[in-house]
Amino acid sequence: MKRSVFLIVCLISLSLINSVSAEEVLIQRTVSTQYPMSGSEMEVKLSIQNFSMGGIVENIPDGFIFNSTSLPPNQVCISGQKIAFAVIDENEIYYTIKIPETGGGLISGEWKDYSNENAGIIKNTPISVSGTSGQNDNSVRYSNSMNLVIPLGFLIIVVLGFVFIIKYRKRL
Amino acid sequence: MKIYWFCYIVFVFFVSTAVTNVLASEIPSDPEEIMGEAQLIISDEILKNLRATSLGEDISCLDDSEVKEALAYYPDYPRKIDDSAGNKITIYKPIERVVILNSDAAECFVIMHAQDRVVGVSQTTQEEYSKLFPELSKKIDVGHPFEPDLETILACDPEIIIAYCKWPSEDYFENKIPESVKVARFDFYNPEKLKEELLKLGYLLDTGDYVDKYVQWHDEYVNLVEDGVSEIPDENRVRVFIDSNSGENSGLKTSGNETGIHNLCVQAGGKNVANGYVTNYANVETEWVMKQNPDFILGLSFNGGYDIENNSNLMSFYEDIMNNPYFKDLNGVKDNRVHVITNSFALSPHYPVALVALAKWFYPDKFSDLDPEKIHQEYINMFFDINYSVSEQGSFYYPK
Repeated sequence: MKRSVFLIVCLISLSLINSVSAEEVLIQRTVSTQYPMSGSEMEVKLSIQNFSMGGIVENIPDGFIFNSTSLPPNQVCISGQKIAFAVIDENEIYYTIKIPETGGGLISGEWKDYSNENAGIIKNTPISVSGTSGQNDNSVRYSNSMNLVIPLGFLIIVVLGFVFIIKYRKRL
Repeated sequence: MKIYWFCYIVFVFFVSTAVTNVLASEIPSDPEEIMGEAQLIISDEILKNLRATSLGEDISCLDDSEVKEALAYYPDYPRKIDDSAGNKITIYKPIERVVILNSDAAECFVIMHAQDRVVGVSQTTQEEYSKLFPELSKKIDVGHPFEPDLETILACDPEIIIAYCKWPSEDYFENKIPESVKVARFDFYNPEKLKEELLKLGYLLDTGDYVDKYVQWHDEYVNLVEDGVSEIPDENRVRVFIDSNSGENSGLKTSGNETGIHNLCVQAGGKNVANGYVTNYANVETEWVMKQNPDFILGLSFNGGYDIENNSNLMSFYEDIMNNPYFKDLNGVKDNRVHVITNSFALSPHYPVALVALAKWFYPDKFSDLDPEKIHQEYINMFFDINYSVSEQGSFYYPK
């Protein structure tokens, strides 16, 4: 009986730990294509979770030109290859960039959560102008790995817990 | 021909509506507008912070902890206004500690039920308004409104100082008070700007409901006078000489355009004979006044107010005008159309009372049903939690 109580407490604790982790800032970048055609326009989407107000700075590779964004002009500032966004209750930010004739590199990014005195980086997204890399893979979706870790971890713990209870229920 | 008139009326309607909306839209009033404005300001502050910290630009901005503090009060704050001197004032949280140098601004704080946020007032407020706002006159005395004691002000630890547009000068505060202490400049004595100034201050202090109550009272009497005056043809308007020497025999002075009393006189339907001849307060020649032969003489006295018990100063000034040998042939004197009014009564948040008084003096038949004294008492009863009778106390104008 004591063991069952111990197990239940462990499971609840692990779930709580997972809940706390779920409150972490999650910002993932997805691109319409990893290998855009030269001279075309490409869309970048930033999905934002647990981050209501703060700032994001994106850095696009040399030769790529920022074109437009879903945010109003007063929430955006461009300086060279860097694009600063003021985030006010946004779940998603879209922006487009013009693709040069050749080239490639990484889109990198960072965020700043003033309220929680927290900051972090957004996972790099490699892009390459189609024709220079010889690949053409449309709709490649990049995700922040943390997004997968938290629900997966929670699922594994719950499943293991149930397996453990079912297997040893007689002893309990 | 009719279609042209129709088009003209439609045009005028849309232009006037647009002008009204532009004025109204400058000062957010409902929660949605306040939030929208706060969003614009906070976005700007975040971007400036990112430009300085991440984009390598050399600009002044709020640091991370200041942005954090500002975000804590969003969406009610930040709030931003242009004060009457053209300075941009941004506040990021509710204002709790205010020093007021301008006694007319002090009156506005009472109207807005915001006396508890005042930590210091000028000497003038203490000495001349102890009966109108007894609570404020007990706050810390920070000295003369034009040359306040900065050490005492800083000891009050204010978040904001409310000063006149021109006094003290910008240099007076420069490098002597911390950057975090804002200086907002409002006059609150010019009828042309007073309502807008109060709306801005109400927005900063988040006292919109009380401001609305005042605006309703203000508009009732101002509209009444303006509507009545608009019917008077220009050639029938009363020609007024404003005697601004306050009965001090220091030469003949008048108030030209760009003065509050000029604006009040014009608003009440008078034609200031000095308009275009002098600007601001200026000396004029007696011969020039005699040549103008005004229909009405308005004495502007600087002696009077709520704390004065009798009208002896005003009576003396009135007698000086009536007995001035150079004035004896003026229409105004011959027709006994002379009144003396105190500056503090005419030019302050309660100026609609003075406006009604002037309109009634200028056009007694047209405004015979208006009683300035009754409206004045109504103002006191509506906005001040005091027991004060304007018919028995104070010195405001003469003859009554």
